Amino acid sequence: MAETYNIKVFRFDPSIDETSSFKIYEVPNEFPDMGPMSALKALRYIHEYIEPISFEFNCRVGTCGRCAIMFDGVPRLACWAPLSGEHTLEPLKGFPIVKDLVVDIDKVRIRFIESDTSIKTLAPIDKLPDIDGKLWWDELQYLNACRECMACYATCTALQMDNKWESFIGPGAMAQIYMRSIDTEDRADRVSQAAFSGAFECVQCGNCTAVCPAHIPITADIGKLQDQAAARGLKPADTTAPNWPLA
Amino acid sequence: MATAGLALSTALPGCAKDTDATVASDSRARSYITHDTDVLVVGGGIAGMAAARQALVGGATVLVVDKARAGHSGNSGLSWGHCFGTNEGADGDGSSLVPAMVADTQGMIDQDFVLAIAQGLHESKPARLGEQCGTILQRGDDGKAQYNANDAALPVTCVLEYRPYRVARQLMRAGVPFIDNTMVIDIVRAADGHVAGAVGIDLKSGDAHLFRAKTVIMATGGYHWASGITAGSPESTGQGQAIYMRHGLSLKDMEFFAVDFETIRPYGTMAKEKDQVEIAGFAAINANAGMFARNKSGKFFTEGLASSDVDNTDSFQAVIITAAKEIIHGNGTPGDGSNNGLYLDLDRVTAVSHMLPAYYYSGYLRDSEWGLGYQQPKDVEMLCDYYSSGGWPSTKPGTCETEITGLYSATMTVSEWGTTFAAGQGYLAGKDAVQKAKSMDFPGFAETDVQDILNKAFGMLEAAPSDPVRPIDIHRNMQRAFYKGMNLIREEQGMQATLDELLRIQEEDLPRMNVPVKSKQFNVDWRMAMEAEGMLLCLIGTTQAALYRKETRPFHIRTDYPVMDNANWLVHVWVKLNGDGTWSIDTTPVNDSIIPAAQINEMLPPVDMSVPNTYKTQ
Repeated sequence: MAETYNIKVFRFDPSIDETSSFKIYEVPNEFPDMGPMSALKALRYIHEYIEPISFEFNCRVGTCGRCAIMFDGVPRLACWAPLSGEHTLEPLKGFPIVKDLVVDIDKVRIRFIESDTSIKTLAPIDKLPDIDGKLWWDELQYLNACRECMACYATCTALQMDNKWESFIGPGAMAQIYMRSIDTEDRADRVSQAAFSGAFECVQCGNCTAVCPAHIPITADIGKLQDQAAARGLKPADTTAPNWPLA
Repeated sequence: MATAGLALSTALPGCAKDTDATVASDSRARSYITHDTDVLVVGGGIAGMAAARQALVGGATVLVVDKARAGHSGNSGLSWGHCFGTNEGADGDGSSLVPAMVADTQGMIDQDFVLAIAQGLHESKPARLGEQCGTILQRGDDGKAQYNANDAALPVTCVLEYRPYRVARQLMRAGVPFIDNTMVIDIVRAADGHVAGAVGIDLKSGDAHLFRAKTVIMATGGYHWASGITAGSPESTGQGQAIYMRHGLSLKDMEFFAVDFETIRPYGTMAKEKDQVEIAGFAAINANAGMFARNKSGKFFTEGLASSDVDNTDSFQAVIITAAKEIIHGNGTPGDGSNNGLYLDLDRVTAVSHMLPAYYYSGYLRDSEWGLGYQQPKDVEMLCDYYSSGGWPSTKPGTCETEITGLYSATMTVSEWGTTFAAGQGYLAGKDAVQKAKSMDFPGFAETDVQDILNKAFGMLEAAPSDPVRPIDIHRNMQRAFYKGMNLIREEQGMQATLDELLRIQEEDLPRMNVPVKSKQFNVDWRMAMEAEGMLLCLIGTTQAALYRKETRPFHIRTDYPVMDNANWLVHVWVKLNGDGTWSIDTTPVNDSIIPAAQINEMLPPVDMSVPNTYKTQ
């Protein structure tokens, strides 16, 4: 016996629509006894059986990071967002909208690029080094699995509420800087890099950690960078704005 | 099927003229943005990035054009945990990989080509590049790197958790321009046939682009999305293969797909119709770990096999052959066997799950409660899928250059070694393209060719046929047709019915194709329309090749020709789309320059699908 979901979806084509709107679609789950249906499947159902709609996806199983949307106001991967009645699907908050649920990610992609998280060492890497097993399995594997889904950016208080776009590289990129800081091969000064990428702009609200599909404890990781930077004397005496634009 | 003599010479497009394309912009019917580059790389995955890096460090200008989000597109962009086979830790120059690759392809590989790949991989060290760019590959429980493999039998290590988008980041930082969300729809060529660049559509805005280039490297991946039964990417629609075919290149090995059991049914599918079986939810653990799979009666069918040749769960081919035999001989799921599936035993999976690629365990086990919040039953049904396709043009073995001068192919994959060959080809193609670009001027091309290409693409958007069919429905029709007769277990009648339906779709449905919303802004229907013809050409070519090969050779499994026949079929089947729309098929013997055919015959275990699996104790 099928269940039916009422999915309210943000619709906007900037090239022809004066303004955005919402449309409600009825989507059936024909195998409810097998478990919940995902928002991505609902979107694909709408596109195939109801009307054309634009959204991003690739892997369908949670590993590629392409399908992140606002699901009932919370950023998450559409393929991992379970349906259970009525839901609202919107584009990731804070990004320019290309069409419907598709956003332009350039403003965050540049931050991942500039985080410069290649392994910095002047000694050649001849072969892959052995690592402390616990370090890889307890911490590095999660940081490595960051998919650049940008859900953390959509919910970051410092960015979305306090508009610290100039001074804060943002949670995802900062987590990658943290990854390098615990990588025993890396020789760069990542604590300094973190400080000058705006680590102290993070207000430690925990939103990013709550939405990260890779299970990265972003808040705690940034907190550690803050502590290490403070111990090095890099924290300003008061908390006035940092003295640099993010280049 | 018409069988002309093998014609590997390239056919020039009908109206190529030798002009220098200095046409005043306001007289162009369709306007476009022009770029110039020494090396154009089409596709930004593992192969494309390997090529782009060679262009960068070789001192050439380079542009990478990708159909979707850079670093996150195609099979490379799935970031499934990327079991990446590399021989960079082996002794010598890497050539020790050759016998293993010949065995793993059942002899169906050009040995000079695989030697060049083996040496190129060893030289370019792609796993190390991944770590240098910031990925930290999976370590053992003890933290040891899975890197140095000097096992003579298989001198390759499969590293896990390779993340292509970290390489993309680093290349972007180093100044390689990635023009993404832009789909290349065709190449342009000079009067002498040399490639001169490519035409693309920015899918976000509908703007047209001309990429003038001295060399073009196709790194567009496969066409397995057209098969409808795939774990692979929706970007994998065969546009590269379609370009090869439209420009007269024959394609070989189309009948071979890379196969695995990864689709959970019905939950992991688009389950509205029984036969929409592309993975659309969680993926199962693959049958490479054959110890997880049960047949319909619940038996772990890879245990206690009587034949030592196949009782080897390290051999991917052996596990798939064993699984296929279970299905052929009535042990496939469900009760009536109609799904051609197997059961996955979750208890066994859980015990070793953390060592498996992320694709399998993170979405499926570790994150299932976080993600979708449901519990899988102990036994789930899993179906076979295609995660990569065949279909490659003839290339110079050491450089990957096709018979169209300046056009390189880095699109070949081999069974489970897709990442391996992607990295190797990208490296070889990039190195050669740089040298070639430095020694030549920009080729000319005909403006009318650019206009023809754009008119075709925009015509699909603008068309208003009287009896319209949406592109998504054409995609589905061809996927359903292909799944019916061209899934894992094949025979002539089913394949012919598939071919008949594909030809009907080509003749009747394609002309009715209609994009209902005419906006150019990220128009998914328009993109699907532009993809549809190429997908169909790939499937038609593939089905013909499969009908032609009258034997079984993994992964082309036929119940009507169940035996692997090395005496007659150590040949490549070449499929060619002629200029008038007809097809030609021919064969060439496999290049056995290193391991002679007679020796290949001896080293391959026999395959006879008509003989069921037998066990030491019943």
